[in-house]
Amino acid sequence: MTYLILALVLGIIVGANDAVNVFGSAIASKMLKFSRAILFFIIFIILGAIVNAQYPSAIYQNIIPSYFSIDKTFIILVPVIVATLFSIKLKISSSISQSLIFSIIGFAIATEVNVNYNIFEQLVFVWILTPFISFFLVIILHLLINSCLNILKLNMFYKDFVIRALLILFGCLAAFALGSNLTASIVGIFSPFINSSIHINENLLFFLGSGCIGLGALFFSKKIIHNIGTKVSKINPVSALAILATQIVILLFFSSKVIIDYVNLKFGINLFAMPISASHVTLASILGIAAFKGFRETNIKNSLFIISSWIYLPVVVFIFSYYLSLTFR
Amino acid sequence: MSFYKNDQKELINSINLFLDNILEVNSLFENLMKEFFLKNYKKVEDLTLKISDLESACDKLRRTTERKIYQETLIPEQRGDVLGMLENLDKIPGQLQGNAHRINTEKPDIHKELHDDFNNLVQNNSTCVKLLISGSKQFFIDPKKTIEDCLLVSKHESTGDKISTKLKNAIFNNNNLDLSQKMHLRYFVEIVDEVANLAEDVADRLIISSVKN
Repeated sequence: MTYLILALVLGIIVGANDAVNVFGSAIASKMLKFSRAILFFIIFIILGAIVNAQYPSAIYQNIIPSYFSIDKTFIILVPVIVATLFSIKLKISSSISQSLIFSIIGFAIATEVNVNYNIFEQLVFVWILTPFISFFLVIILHLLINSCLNILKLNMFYKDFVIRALLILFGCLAAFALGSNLTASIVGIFSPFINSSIHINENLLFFLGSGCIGLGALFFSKKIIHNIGTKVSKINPVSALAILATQIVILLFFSSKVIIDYVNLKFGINLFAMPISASHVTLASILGIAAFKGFRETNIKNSLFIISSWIYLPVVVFIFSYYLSLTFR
Repeated sequence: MSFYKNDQKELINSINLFLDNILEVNSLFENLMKEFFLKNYKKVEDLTLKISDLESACDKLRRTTERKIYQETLIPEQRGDVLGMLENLDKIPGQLQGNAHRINTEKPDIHKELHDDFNNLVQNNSTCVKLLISGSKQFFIDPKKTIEDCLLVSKHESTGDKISTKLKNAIFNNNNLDLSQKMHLRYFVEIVDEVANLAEDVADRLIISSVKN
């Protein structure tokens, strides 16, 4: 149970870290108030977790075929918690799923447990690819949304209403998509222990995990939201919509079993559900919009600072987990 | 936060009413000048009072609209531009009201040979205001049309300058007028022409805001 509490603490930290990815751009563009946005975030993150979280959760069991015992979970979770707290201190949003996978790899190497490097390579490949896809996809979606709004020739105030309504709708969808990803990240590593070491219903586990994410978002996410939303690049309401739409497309694509099964069937590939970094997708989308506008009003220094954390944080987590595993093996 | 469409509808109606009131003030001032040349001073007084009432209504509508936009945190991107536009537009009924009061109180002695030019000046200014209001209404829907209308405002303002210069020349070259009368009439030419100058100022700002949006 202690390990579960540790995971729920991680959930709160994740909430503080990741709420920015869903409603950060809408709040930064002054279209939504923080309190209302967080309310929607909590509701839909829980729904997303209960509906979809079991699919990306499977990755944790698949990456280490001979899964670790439950008393070792703290070795995996502590480096992730420390790294995430460190990134929150720096007011940047880090990738929990990446930290978790690198922590597992650090643990596996130190304890000489077999790792499925094939899955790991695919994960790394997709993690590198998704920011680039987001960067270009957001530009296409921005153009598309702008064209639709221009065709409608709405009065400025009606346009404002439509954008607000769409921001809430897209935000809820993004929270739904993120719910499965994030919850899979924080409680997914416990899935293999359900009914053996942990006597809890899997849906209840996902509910608790996503509930903690909601609490973390409610109490601790405000500062990061303002940092990402205002210190990287100026975001206008239409850009905020495009950023959210990009997130929905990418997160749902990699977490929905229905979509993945369809793509595998259609293209004859072997894609699997995996946790994607919403933080990377968000920042890449913001930078995509910034590039589209010729990098005007963009804080390049702050952007590079955040991008550099994509590299050093997993490395730090890996090293920390490796030495922690050696100490407690 | 405004989430319900009614808030937006109410605001659009308030702004449209504000703009229509300015048009109405403009039209009343045109009538006032006609009546003044016909020496119907009672009608001039009535029209002055009507203009005053409408000007007060404009002030009230502007304040309510501005407060609502800020309270409901609406149109965050264009809020500054819209507030600037409303405040500057509100100067026009203010100027027309001032002009109406001065004409009603001071009753300048405008000789018949100057009537046509004075009428032209008033008509030209009135066109400026009409174009500006049309451009302002389009600002909320189609900024391209705003730019077209606002460029026409500038064109008419230049025409107004030419008419006022011609009028001043006519006034100061008229040997039947003494200097105090000349100064008095020149003052009226300037305050009537000021309406077009104000319209041009608003039009210039609207062009910038439209390009920005």
